[in-house]
Amino acid sequence: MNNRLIGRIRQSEHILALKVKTESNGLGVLKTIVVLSLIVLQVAFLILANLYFMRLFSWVFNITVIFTVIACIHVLSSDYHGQAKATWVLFLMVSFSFGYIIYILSDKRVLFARSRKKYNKILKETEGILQQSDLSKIKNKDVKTNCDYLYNAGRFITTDGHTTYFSSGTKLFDDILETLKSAKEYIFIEYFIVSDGVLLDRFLNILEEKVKQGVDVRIVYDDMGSHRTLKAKTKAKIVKMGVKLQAFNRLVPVFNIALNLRNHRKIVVVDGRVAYTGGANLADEYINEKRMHGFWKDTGIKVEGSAVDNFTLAYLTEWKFLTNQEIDYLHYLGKAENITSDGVNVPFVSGPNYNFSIAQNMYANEIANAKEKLYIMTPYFIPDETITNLLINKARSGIDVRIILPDVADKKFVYTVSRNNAEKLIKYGIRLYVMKNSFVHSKVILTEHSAIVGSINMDLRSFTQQFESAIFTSEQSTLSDINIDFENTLTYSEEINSKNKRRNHLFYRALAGIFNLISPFM
Amino acid sequence: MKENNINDFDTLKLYVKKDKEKEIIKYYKVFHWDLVSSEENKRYEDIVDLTFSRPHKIENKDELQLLQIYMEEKLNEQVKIKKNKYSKSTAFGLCFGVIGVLLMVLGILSCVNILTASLIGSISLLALGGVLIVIFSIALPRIIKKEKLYFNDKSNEIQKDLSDITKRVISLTGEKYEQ
Repeated sequence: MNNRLIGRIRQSEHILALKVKTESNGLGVLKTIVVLSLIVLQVAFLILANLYFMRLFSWVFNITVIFTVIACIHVLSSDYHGQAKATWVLFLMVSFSFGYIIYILSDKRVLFARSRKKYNKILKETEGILQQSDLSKIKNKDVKTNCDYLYNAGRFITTDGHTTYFSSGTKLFDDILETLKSAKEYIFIEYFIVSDGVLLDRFLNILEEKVKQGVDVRIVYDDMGSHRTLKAKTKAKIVKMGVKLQAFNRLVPVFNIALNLRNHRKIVVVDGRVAYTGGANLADEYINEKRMHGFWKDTGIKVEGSAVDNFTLAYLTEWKFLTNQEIDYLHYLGKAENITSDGVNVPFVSGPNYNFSIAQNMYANEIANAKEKLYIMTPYFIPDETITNLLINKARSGIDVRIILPDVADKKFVYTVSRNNAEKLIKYGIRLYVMKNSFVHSKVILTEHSAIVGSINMDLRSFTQQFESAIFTSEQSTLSDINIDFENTLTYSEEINSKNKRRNHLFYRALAGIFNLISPFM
Repeated sequence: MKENNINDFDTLKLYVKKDKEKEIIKYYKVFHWDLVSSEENKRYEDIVDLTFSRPHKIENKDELQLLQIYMEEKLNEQVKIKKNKYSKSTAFGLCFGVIGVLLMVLGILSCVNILTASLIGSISLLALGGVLIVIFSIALPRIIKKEKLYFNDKSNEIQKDLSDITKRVISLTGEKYEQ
């Protein structure tokens, strides 16, 4: 008998008939635990020190009272929305003796102020580089309003362009790989998750070749999103092959609100003539070559033409923020040929660096402008009051509102909250579906006249804490493809009604309540 | 080797129960997956590690991936219901049968003065044990019958689902399912 087979266990209880082999990076998990533990220790130390001194000196108690009152006033005068303000004030009251310490450490205006200033400076110097077209030709008023909003909020221009929709990560990445092969000048890549695996290997095979041909290849990855999946060895390999690799917001064991601000964007720009965004990250599960939560349903969109400049500029400003390098923006812009289409295609980004939540406002605009139908695909459903009320009003006005959520959870608690929130809307006429045995990771909103496809989840984290990317489109062929995708997805979905609603355990319901309360900060 | 060419071929690695190996290979064949290797698992005696390969670019790939996951679910469910076929009757048997016998034994021991209990107490124990045994002997065959019925229905349902999935896949890939 083969030596390596001696001493085996007779029965495997965890495998029924079959199990797909997936690998995980245990070292990455360990890193997360260590970092989180150190952060918890720091917070605990600060709290205990404050409590200790409060007992020792009465003036510390007085200062705590004053600071708590100041913190409450600061919260109420902030631009947080109602739910966040109420939660903060409640927290400050309940945890009177140490709440203000957590608040100071968590306030974006305190510890994110320097970064924001830096971002503003970069955004200011890029203002006016892209020129807005004449929008008077846009017939649909609602579409024009959104174009105006995007320009006024973030200087995202409406210009010529053509979009192609991909109904799966597999189709999206096959197209990206083909486009990468045609790159001549530069390739800009930005993902929340970059993971070791087949897909990354396919990318690196092409990128290595491109670097040798003199193409400027850059990758930005989010350190929180990728630290468990991208090994140090792979990072070293990428750098060694000549790719410029940048981590966004490194995961450090120091308590800082900035750690909560993550780069959730998914952008690929090739030579300023083609760009992509969508829900899919650079990891094998997004193309169903790794099994995580059943079938992985994702989507993506490609834009060609001058509209690509919006993403190119957004990427370059991000790059400047991360590296402090001087950039000749014009060198990278205006590369695309004119491509006309029957609608508008506006790539845009969003994030805490802007003064408004562009993502949230675009979603709100899109929902408000729907007149016949409103289809939504999202993995998480934790909207604020404004979006919830808009959805309810639309459904009550007789508009066909449908929401598709996953059937399989990736994070159990978040899923419970999402399902709870969505199921509450059924009684108002909103039709809720779950895609069977699948994790719907797509982030798409479709109305009769336009759509938004990108990385923006229907949750407060995406709206307020994360850097996101998307494309607003009114091109008919793209809208038609998105509509077909919705119809196909619905055939594999189950409609949820009052009879088959989930009956959650009291514990989950209580947890969902707490989760909803703190969702603005998560 | 074709499995090493990651640009042109996809690879799938599975842990499979030995007694299901042939059946599973046949199902995956319908999805265009060709078996590359089959090896004994290093840790478990009843598991084999299968590696499949198929061309990266195939038509209707998204739907095939989705149907493949449905099929995997059904194959696992099939084993799960077989494993839990008599779970209710086992639990019932353990509760009523064992407790009934135990009570009767205690009653007998009390009657023959090995345990100290009053006569009424001993008779009560015997009676309660007897009632439990009677309930056990009347209800158990019915529960088993119901379980068998449920198992057969569920089995047929899963088999039908598997057959529907296979038919749909065959219509997409043109592969044949070898019986």
